[in-house]
Amino acid sequence: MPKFKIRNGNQMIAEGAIAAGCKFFAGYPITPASGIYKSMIDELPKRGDVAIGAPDEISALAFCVGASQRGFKAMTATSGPGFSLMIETLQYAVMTETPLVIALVQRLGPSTGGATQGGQGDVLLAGNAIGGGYTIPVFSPSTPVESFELTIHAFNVAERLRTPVILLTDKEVGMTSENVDYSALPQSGIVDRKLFVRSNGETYGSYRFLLPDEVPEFAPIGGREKVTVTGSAHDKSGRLQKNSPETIEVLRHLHEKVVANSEEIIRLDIDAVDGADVIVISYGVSARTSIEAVAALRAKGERVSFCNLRTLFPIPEKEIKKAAGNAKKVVVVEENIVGLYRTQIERLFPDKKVSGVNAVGKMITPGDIEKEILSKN
Amino acid sequence: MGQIKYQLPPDEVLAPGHFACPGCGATLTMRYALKALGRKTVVVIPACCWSVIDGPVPYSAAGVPVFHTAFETAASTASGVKAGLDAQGDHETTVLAFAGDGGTFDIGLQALSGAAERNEDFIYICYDNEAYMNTGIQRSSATPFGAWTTTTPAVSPKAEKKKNIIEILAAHRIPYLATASVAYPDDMIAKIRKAKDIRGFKFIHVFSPCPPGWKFEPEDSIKISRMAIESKVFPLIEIIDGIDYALSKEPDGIPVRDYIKMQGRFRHLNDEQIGIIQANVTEDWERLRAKFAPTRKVSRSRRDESTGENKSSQTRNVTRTKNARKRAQKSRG
Ligand SMILES: Cc1ncc(C[n+]2csc(CCOP(=O)(O)OP(=O)(O)O)c2C)c(N)n1
Ligand code: SF4
Ligand SMILES: [Mg+2]
Repeated sequence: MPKFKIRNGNQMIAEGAIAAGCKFFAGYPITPASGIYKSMIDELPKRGDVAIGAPDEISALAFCVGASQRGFKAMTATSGPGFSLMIETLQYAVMTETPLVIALVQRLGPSTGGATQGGQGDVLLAGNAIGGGYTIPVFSPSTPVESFELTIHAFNVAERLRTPVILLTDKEVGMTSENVDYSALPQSGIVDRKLFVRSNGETYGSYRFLLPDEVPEFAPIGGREKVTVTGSAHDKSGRLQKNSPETIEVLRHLHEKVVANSEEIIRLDIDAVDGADVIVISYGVSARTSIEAVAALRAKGERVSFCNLRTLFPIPEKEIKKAAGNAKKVVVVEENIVGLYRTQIERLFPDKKVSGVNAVGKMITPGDIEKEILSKN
Repeated sequence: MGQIKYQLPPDEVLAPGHFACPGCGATLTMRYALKALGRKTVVVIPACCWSVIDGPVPYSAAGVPVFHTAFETAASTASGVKAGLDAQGDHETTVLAFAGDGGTFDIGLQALSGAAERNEDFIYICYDNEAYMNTGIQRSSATPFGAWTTTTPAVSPKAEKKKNIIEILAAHRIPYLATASVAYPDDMIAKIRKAKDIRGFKFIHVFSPCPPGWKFEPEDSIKISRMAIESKVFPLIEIIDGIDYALSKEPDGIPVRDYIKMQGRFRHLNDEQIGIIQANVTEDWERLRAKFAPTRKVSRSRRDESTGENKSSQTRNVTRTKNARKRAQKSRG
C-alpha cells in the first residue's frame, strides 16, 4: 500500500540523515537551506541527539568536525555564501580524514546573489574546493526521494572513506514539495566507520594505512588511544612533517582512497536507448526538466538517451562514456551561464559534438532542451 | 493629553515606498538615523532585512548611497569606506554601518571588535530585532531567554540569556556607546547626532520590534518598545569611553510580565519561566545601576538646540570626560 506524504528535498535530506545515523547537526540560517536546519532542530533533540545553531558557518562546520572526531555522524547545511566561508574547514576535514556531510543547497550566485532564486553555479566550486586538487565526493539529488537516498549514501561514503562529502542540491529541489511514497523509499544499508581495535602491543596511528587506497581506522579523540587531529602535513601517526616520504605518502593516499574507490561512490541514473543519436546529461533540478524533454521527443520517435548525474565527483567518466555509446551529440543541461559541468564532459568526448542548454536567474524549460536536441549544429 | 513639543527634523531622507512589514522597528530606526545624519552619509548594510527593505535598485528608498555588503563584513567594509574617504580628503561624509543583531552579535562580531579596537571613525548602528528575521526567524545570540523562534521551538524555547553586546563594546573602551529605542525618536536622534560629532568608533544599539517575528500586531510596535524600557528589559543609556555610564530615562519599573504578555513569541512561558526572566532583568538592572557614576549636567551643544529639542522632556545626564576629549583630539589629527 502506498503511503504518501508531502515532502520537499530539504525535509528528505533531514530524514535521510537521521536514517543514516546522523546524531549531530550544526546549522546557520540561509535561504534556501534553512529547512534542513529547522527539521534537524525539530527532530534530533527528541531522540536525545544534538542540533545546535552556530554563530556563523565557519563554526557550523567546525562543530561538525569536532563532533565527528568524537565518533558522531555529523552534518551541516548551507548555500553559496555560507559554503564559501566553510572552505577552510572543509579542507581541514580532508586533511584530518574527518567523515561529515555538507548539504549545499544552491541559489543564484555569486556572493549574496539571489536568496530566493535558484541556480546551479556552485558545482565546480564544490568539486574543486580542495587545494591540491583532492577530490571529495559530490552527490546531486533531483527529487525528494533521491534526496533521501543520496543522503544515506553520502553518510555511508563519508564513513567508509573517512572523508567529507557534499550533497549538492538547489533551491527548486530543496524547497519544492511533492508527493513522496514512503512505502517505496529505497532501503539502503548503513555503513559505520571502521573502529580501531587494539590487539596485543599495537599502538594507534590516527592516519595509519598500508596500501594508499586503504582507509585508516578511527579512534575518537579523548578516548583510550592517543589521537592527533591536525591540518598540518603529517605522517601516519599525525606527527607534523613537511616532506618526509611518509608525509608525501599520506598526501597521495588522501587522493587515492577516493579515486581508487570511485566505483563504490558513483551512483548514476542511466536511461539509454539503443542506437541513440543524442544523449542528454543533467543533474539536480535541470535533470527533472530534461526527463520531460526527453520523454516528449521519444514520443515523437526521436532516439535520445538520458543520464542523470547523481554523482558529480569523482567524475563518472567510464559510466558517462558507456552511456553515450555511439551518439554523435551530447547535450549538457544545467542552470549556470557558462556550462560548468559541460567543461568536464567535453574532454571525455573529443570526437562528439558537446553542446549545452544553460540559463541563469531562471529555470530551463523542456522546450529549450528539445530545441537543442533537435538542432543540427 | 500631553502636548507634543518635539519636532522631528523635517527632511525625510528615507522615502516612503520601502519593502518592510508594517510596524517594522528596523525601518523606523533607519528613518530617524538618516534624519539625524542627513544626506551626506554612506550607509553600509550587510545581509539582513534591510538588504530587502531598501527596495530593488534603482528603487532605493534610502535617499543616500547604500553599500550592501557581505553578511560578516559590515564593520570591515565601513572601515574601508572611511579610509577611502579620508585618503581623498573627504572628512565630511558620515559613514554609517547599519546591521541587524545576527550581523552584529554573531557573524559580524569579529569585524565589529576589530573596528572598535582600532577606534575607526564611523557610526555603527545595530537594529536589534532579536533573531535572524530575514531568513525566517531563527535564533541569534541576541534572542532573549524563553523566546520562541523557528529554531528554538515552544517545546524548548531559548535556554540561554541574550548576549550583552553593550558590555562587550564597553570593554573596547570606545568613545561613545548608547542604546536607543524607536519609542523615543528625540532621544535616538540626539544620540546619533552626538555620535556624529565625536571622532572614533561609535556604537548605538537600537531596540527594534518586529511584528511577524515577535508575533504582535503592527500597531503595538511603539507600545512594546516603551514597555521594554519601562520594564528595564532595555534601559536607555549612554557610555562614554566604556567607563562613564549615564541613564537617559528612568524606567517606571513595570513588571516584565506586562511586556512579555504583549508578544506571541513568549506565549508558551509559564509563571516560573516568567519569574526567571523578571529575576534576570532585575539582576541586570542592579548591576547596570551600580555603574552609573554621579554625573553632572552639561549644557547642550549648539547643534542640539538648533533641532528645537524639548529641553524639559528629559534631562540627559551626559558627561564628556577629559579622556573622551583627548581621544577625539588625537584621532582628529
Ligand atoms: C555568509 C552568509 N550566511 C548566511 C546568510 C543568510 N542571511 C541573510 S540575512 C540573514 C539574517 C540576518 O539576521 P540579522 O542580522 O539579525 O538581521 P534581520 O534579518 O533580523 O534584519 C541571514 C542568516 C548570508 N547572506 N550570508
Ligand atoms: S521581518 Fe521584522 S525586521 Fe524584517 S522587515 Fe518585517 S518587521 Fe522589519
Ligand atoms: Mg535580527
